[in-house]
Parts: sequence; C-alpha cells; structure tokens
Amino acid sequence: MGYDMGKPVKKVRFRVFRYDPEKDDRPHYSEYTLEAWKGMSVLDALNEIKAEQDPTLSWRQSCRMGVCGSCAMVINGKPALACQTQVLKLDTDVITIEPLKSFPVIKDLTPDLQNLFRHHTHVKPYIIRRNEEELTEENPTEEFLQSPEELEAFLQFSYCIKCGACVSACPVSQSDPEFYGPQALAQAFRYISDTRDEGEEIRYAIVDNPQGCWRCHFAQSCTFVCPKGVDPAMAIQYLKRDLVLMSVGMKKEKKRAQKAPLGAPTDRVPEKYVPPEFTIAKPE
Amino acid sequence: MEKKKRYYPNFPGVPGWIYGGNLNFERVLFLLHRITGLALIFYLFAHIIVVGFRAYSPEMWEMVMGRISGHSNPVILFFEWLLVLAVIFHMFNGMRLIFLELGFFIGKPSRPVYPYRTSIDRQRIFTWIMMILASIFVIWSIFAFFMGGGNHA
Ligand code: HEM
Repeated sequence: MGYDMGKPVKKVRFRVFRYDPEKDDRPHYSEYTLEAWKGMSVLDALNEIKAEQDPTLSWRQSCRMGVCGSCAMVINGKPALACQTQVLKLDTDVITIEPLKSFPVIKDLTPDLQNLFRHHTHVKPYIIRRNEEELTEENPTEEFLQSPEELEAFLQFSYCIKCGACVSACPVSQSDPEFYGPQALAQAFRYISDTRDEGEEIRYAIVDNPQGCWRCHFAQSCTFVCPKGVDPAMAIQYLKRDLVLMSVGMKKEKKRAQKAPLGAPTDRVPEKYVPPEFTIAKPE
Repeated sequence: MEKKKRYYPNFPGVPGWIYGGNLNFERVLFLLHRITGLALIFYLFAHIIVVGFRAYSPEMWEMVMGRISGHSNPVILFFEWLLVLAVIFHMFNGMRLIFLELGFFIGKPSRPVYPYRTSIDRQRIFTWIMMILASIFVIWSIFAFFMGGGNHA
C-alpha cells in the first residue's frame, strides 16, 4: 500500500463536489471517510479516495509540491492548492472540497481555466522592446543588467503559477467574468515594473478601462488566498496609482535596464548588497 | 437519447459577494461599503422627494414632517440612526480606500520569503485606526439620537 506514510491520527470525513456532465443535471456531494495521517495533504487524501474508494473522482494535478498550480480548489470555503493544504492543520472533522468558483466545471473538481488565460494573454505578459530585433537576434552581443533592487520590484509578481485561486476568491470576478481579474492585472504590473520592458504604455492603455484595474474594489481576497505570496491586490493598487499620477503629469520616468557586452565580468553587484535572510518553516 | 456534454457554470454571481466563503475581513468591508453606498443613493432620492414637499406649501411641509420625521416617530428615528451608521462607515471606509487604492500603506513589492508578508498585513493597522475612529462617531451618534445628547430631544 503506497499511501501508508504515517500513523493514522484521526478519522476525517471528506465532502467532495461531484458533477459528471454526461449524467448529472446538477452537482451533488459525495462523502468519503479516511484515516488522516500526519503530513497528509488534501491531494494525498483525494488520491487515496480515488485509489481505494471511488475511481470516478476527477481533478487536475501534476507536481504535487506547490509549483505547477494545477490542483487549486476550494477547501473549506477557501481557494487553496490541495497539495499545500495539510488535512490535520485544517483542524476539522469534515472537509468540504469544491472546484474553483467563477470557472465552469468540466467534471468534479476540474475547472475550465480558459477565461483566466484569455485575460492573462490580453495584458501582453512578455517583454516588449521598441527594437523588436533585439529579441530575435541570432547571436546576441549584449545583455541586460539588473540590480537586485530592480529585480525585487517585480520578482514577487513573477512567482504567479496561474492556479486561478485569486480569481476564484475575487468578489468582482464572481459577478463579472469580463473583469480582467487579479491574476492578469498583477502580471500587467509585473511587466510594467520590469526595467527591461518598454511596453508599459501599451499595457497601461490596456488596463486603464472599466473592466481593467478600475473594476477592482480592493477586497484583497486575491492576496489572502494566493499560495505563492504574489499579492495581486498590491499590484492593482499600484497600477491605479501610476494611472492617477500619469493623469496629473506627476509620474516619474521609468528606469530602463542598462545594456552591457555579453559575458562582461560581474563586478557590478553592489558591495553593500546583503542577500535576504530566509526563515525556513519548522515542521511541527 | 444521448445527453449533450456541458459544463456546470459554477458562477456565484452577486450572492458570491455575500457568501464568499472562508475569507478575509477586508472582503466584508467591501460588501458593507457597497451596501451602504447603495443605501445612501436610495436615501438621496427619497430625501429629494420628501424635501420637495416644501415646494407645495408650509402646511404640507409641516404635515409631512409630522408624520415621517424622527422627532415624531421612534421607528423612523431608528432608521435615521441606521442611515447615520451607514454614512459613518461609508465615510471612514471610503477614506481608507482612497489612501489604499492610491498605493499608500500597502508596502512595496519585496522578495517573497516565507512566511509571506502581504499588503493585507501592512494595511491592517491603518484599517483598524479608521474603524476605531468610525466607532467613536458611532458612540457619539447613540448619544445624539437616543440619549438626548443632540437637539432631537
Ligand atoms: C465622505 C463621504 C464619502 C466618501 C469618503 C466616499 C468614498 C467612496 C469611495 C472611495 C468609493 C469607491 C470604493 C471602491 O473603490 O470600491 C465609494 C463608492 C461608492 N460611494 Fe461613496 N463616499 C462618500 C459618500 C457617499 C455618498 C453620500 C453616497 C451616496 C449618495 C455614496 C455612494 C457610493 C456608491 C454607490 C459607491 C459604489 C460602491 C461600490 O461600487 O462598491 N458615497 N465611495
């Protein structure tokens, strides 16, 4: 038995959202009881259910370690990655698992994320250069230089794994599918604040509309549920700030990345730069 | 007959604002701000109609006020008080939103090091200050409305 990872601690009941497009008109909930062991994630539990109790249960998963963003689902009312949610930490005897909200359900816990990616591609989530040849050069001779501070201006937002948890939590996305959503707007800001990018005017024009950043009412649920600490709510407010500053002519000129010959020595790391301290979460 | 394949929409719509799930406190503020804003607009129209009676005659005005002002009717007084609560909340939360949505008190982007510190944590003190200021006004309104502190008595 592949799943006996630890000693059983207690029995947990799982209420799982079920919908089969070929059979069901409306969704219903199936219940399964499992022995939860220390270290069991909700994803482990689903796999155990599928292996031992109900092979018809479907969901999406790949990496099972919080990197791919496939297994986001609503667990006890909060969108989260199933692989990162510990069954025992939820500290309840009944765990309700539902698919992400605001997305059509293909089957059981599998949402159709097309709307997410439609909005994502709409904000042009890639480096834009005025001189397009720079990006297609066969044998580049120059590279961009970015200081650690310049990196930190967007690093956080580039951690997005497109799992859709933020969109599922956002009250505005819940009532307006045409709202670009926290994910796309955070990515717009990620590229706008990248010093290598020159497409900020295009992107500001895209997000400056009633379905763009102005539809955000700052409920901050996106930030609350984001499993990667991306903080989309902050990114959207900075988009608004930039647009307001631009409209009154107070926006500072954007800093551009310097270019240097390829392979030049890396003596450019500032001496005073201190790498950030990492705290590693202690296992309990 | 073979059933057509289709997706279940799973789209919460407006009830999703209310039944959001197990989420954060700021989301409740969002909902209250929207409800109070709409209530204020509704009151504005009602207010214009009621005040419009003044245009007919002083007697008409006296008659209307005698029926539906808080002076004469405790139930209406209570609703007027609810309206004041809505104004107080909408005003303070509105000021909070003006600051936060212009990028004040939400922090700067930083390296995402676990445990993550987000704009929710950073703005919470400011939010509590605004809510405490609002509750001071609420306490004042209780005195003014029900304990004869204002000129209503
Ligand atoms: C001091 C007074 C006020 C302040 C500071 C204020 C502030 C604000 C702010 C900042 C917003 C935008 C919130 C967001 O981004 O979601 C807003 C929305 C709104 N306000 Fe006010 N407001 C005030 C008075 C009023 C009054 C008197 C009315 C009604 C006549 C009103 C009705 C609304 C409505 C309907 C909304 C839209 C709510 C929403 O979209 O969720 N507000 N207010």
